Amino acid sequence: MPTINTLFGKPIVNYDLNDNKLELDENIYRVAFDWQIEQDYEELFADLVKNPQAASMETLIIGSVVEDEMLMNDAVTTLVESKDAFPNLKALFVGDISYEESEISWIQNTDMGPVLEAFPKLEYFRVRGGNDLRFQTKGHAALKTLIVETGGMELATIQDIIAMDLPELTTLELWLGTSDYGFGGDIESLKPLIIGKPYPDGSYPFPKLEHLGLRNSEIADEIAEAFMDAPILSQLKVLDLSMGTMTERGARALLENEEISSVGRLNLSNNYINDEEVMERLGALGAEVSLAGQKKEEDYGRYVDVGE
Amino acid sequence: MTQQPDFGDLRSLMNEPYSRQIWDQLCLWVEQWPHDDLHARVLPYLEGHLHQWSDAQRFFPKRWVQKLMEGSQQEHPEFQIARLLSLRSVVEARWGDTDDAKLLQSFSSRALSHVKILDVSYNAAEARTYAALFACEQLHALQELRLVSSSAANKNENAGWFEGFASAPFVAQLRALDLRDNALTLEELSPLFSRTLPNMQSLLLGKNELDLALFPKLTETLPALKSLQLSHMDLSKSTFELLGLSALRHLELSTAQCDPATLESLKHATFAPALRTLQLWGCEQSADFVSVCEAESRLSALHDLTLAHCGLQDAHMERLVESPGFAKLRALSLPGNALTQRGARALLAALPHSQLESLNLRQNPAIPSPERDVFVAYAQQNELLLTL
Repeated sequence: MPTINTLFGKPIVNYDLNDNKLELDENIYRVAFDWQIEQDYEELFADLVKNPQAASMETLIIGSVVEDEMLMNDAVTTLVESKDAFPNLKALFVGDISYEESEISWIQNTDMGPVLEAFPKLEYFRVRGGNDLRFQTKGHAALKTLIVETGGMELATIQDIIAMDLPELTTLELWLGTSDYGFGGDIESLKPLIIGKPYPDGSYPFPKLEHLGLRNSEIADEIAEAFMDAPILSQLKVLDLSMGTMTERGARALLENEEISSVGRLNLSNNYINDEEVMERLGALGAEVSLAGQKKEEDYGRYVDVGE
Repeated sequence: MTQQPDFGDLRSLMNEPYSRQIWDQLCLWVEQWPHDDLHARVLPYLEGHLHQWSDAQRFFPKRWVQKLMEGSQQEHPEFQIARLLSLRSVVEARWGDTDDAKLLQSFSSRALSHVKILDVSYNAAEARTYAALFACEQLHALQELRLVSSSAANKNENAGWFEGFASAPFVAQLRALDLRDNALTLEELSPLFSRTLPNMQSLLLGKNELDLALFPKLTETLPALKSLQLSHMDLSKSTFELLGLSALRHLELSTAQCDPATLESLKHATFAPALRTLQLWGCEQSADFVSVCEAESRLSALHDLTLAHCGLQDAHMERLVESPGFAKLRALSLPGNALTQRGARALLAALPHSQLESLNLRQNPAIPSPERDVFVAYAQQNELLLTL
């Protein structure tokens, strides 16, 4: 099962061995182990590589690759080795695996640096699963969108992403997750994404960034507070702090931040902001504010939307 | 930059304009600096140069806060350069239990002697911890104390947590106090009124369980108050004439219950001629404030007016723009109201005769698109900061 049904306005369909003619103008194709007919991923992918239409493919989605164990290493290696079959690839989603197939915390990922290096035309890269996920590459000259979905992002992953040279990046979305499932960062490790690189550089890592998502975070309050005096706010059109554990504490910090209204859209949905007065004030900010789906804290605490 | 900065590096750093990166780097350097030289040259030099940065900009880095809470016995002279200590949300209630030993520990630290702003908000700490805070002799430089939502957990068990405030060694010099969201009754708040606090300029009391007897007490004990925030108070059948704070410049009332007579009393208040900012948020009847702005208003210094989520309609708008007070406004914020084409047109017609620099009309969905376009065009041509 995919986590998304459409991408770039096109429906996503599973690649099939019987697909003699791909409708690339109409569909986005997803290659994944099919548990209903027990169709092997390797066989499916090898078939796609041999398909002459692969050369015209601009978007590709990789789903689950093995029946039970979500080990992405071999699939990623094969993808990189097959780079010549996809010379026009501009958008790639690795690990489109829904919770029905595998919990996000079970996905065993790998270094995506070679993937970025293998596809120089990539403008959109999305990956799901935080275990052992790395980006060990200097960067990518064309990438505009990077989305990393995890239930717990490791410190090394955060550091890799910040260290990459991505001069064209306009959208960065990180699902940070919880320490129960591997989140290894803290507010200090995220500071370059909020206030910029350390002295003496001081610059922002991604000069063209317009959309920043620090989502699904158990330190959402601290993140909200850290945006005080953050120069990036004047550059951002969208700030997405949804799916986390933000309370009135973080919300009030945003309200007290005079620069927050310069952001075009502020997504605070699916947090723990339940104070009517605070919500009213957030709604009155200059930014278009989304506050849908606020959660209620239970006796056992607050949780991010996607952890396990 | 080398791993071992010298004094020249430090001087270069201090010539940079403030940024969070600069501050982080400075904290890192002083932390690693040899103590002898730190005492002899660096701290005296910084003492003379850090005045250019505000106290709020000079915050304790997180690792310093952790050291402080761990009760480190080591000497930390580098802490002297920081002024804002945030101990926000370090104690969280879980399953009804709290563990506030670390917070308690931090109040015995000698490092507090240079702290001017202390934020202890959002802690589910026990009363004994606040007692330790209020007894802390080290906080002799404290000027601002933030205690938002400080008794959220174990409210009943922690009744009286604010009692020690009256005898705190720093009380007389406090300039700002934030007590929002504590469900304090007037009786529980009484330690604030035990003596005159001549330096207190800012007080935030939103979301407490206060009543009208508050006004005389504020008047008696906080004569220098310039900024007051209240919310969730029943102000009906009240009069602002009881609030005799002649220095008051900024008044914010949120989701308070007001009646027309209470609002009318604003213009007779002692502070009326000096009031510069008035924010009315979600106050029932606050659309009637428009009448206060009409003829002969004593609110002659009012520059910044917010009437948010208060049922403002077109007729109110038409009266507001005709009032003498409107021409003096620099900022007008009207989000969450019921303005339509008629009200929008009245405002548009008045804009050229106004001094408005900022206008917020968000969440007025009935303003039609053509009028919105005219607002945008006007804002672009006249450097008006518009939020629509």
